[in-house]
Amino acid sequence: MKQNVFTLLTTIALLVGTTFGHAAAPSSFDEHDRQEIRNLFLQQAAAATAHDIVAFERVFTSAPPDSSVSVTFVARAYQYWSKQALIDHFTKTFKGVWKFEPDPSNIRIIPLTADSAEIYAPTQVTFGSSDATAKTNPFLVCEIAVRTPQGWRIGAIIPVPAQ
Amino acid sequence: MMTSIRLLPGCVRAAIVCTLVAAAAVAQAAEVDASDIQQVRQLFLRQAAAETAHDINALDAVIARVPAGQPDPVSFIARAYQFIGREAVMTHFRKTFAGTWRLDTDEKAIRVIPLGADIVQIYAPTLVTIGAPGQEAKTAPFLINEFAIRTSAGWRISAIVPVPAQ
Repeated sequence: MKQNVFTLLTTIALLVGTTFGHAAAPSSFDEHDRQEIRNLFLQQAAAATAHDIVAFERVFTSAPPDSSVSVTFVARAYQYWSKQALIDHFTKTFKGVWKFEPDPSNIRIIPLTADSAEIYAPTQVTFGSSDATAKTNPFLVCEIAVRTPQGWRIGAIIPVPAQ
Repeated sequence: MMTSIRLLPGCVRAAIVCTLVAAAAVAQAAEVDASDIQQVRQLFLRQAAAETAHDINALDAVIARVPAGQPDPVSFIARAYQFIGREAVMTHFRKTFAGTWRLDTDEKAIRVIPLGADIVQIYAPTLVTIGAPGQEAKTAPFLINEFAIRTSAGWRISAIVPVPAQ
């Protein structure tokens, strides 16, 4: 009887730990994480410049419908508070001119917690309805990357106008 | 109840402890809840009040502090200046407090948005009045973005990113 109770409780403990291990384990931020986040950001930049909305969408967090976790984009001109609103915005934006060109030598990854980091990337952004009217402006792009079961993903974008 | 547990054999008690520890770990990793949102909102309002009062100690208390050897999570990225690291940010505010510095946040417009289990974004449209010592101050609107992180001491501010609204 005692052995059965012990086995049952130990199994429950192991199941709980295994099921939620990814989120519950006291992980740490290492150089591998830093490189993954840098690559993620460069994938995002390449997808944006290529107007590849499918590749672009993949870099953002995808929370379950019942989750309170969201994706945000706060710029001077507009603010979006969900992944869908953000993707809808870029689907329209990609119909015009849009180039997102970070300076790779100045990208900084700043760990905030074991499972989140800030990306700082001085970036030239070219945008407009046509090549003739497009303008290029410098931004100090700040983003937040979060660790998810699928790997690192982007949760927030804040472009600060540099001029 | 406690008496009943004491009567259990050691191995069973150990298994119960393991179960409770695992459950506590899961609870700790749970998503941001309404209480967290309220705590973060209060944290931001304390920060804004500390800045307007030029109370560097009160400001120091809301900014994240991590044990030696861990990465410093504090930064302040603005159009005019960029500070990386807690000491650089606090040194900046010590100098700023020598002149005019006031935050007037539209409290109704504050948003607290969970990005993960241990990080939330704060969005706060704010009028910032700035002036160097002895010079006329100017007021400008900003969309202040900050990132609060869950620490062993509670929620604290890590990154500050004000976007000029004009």
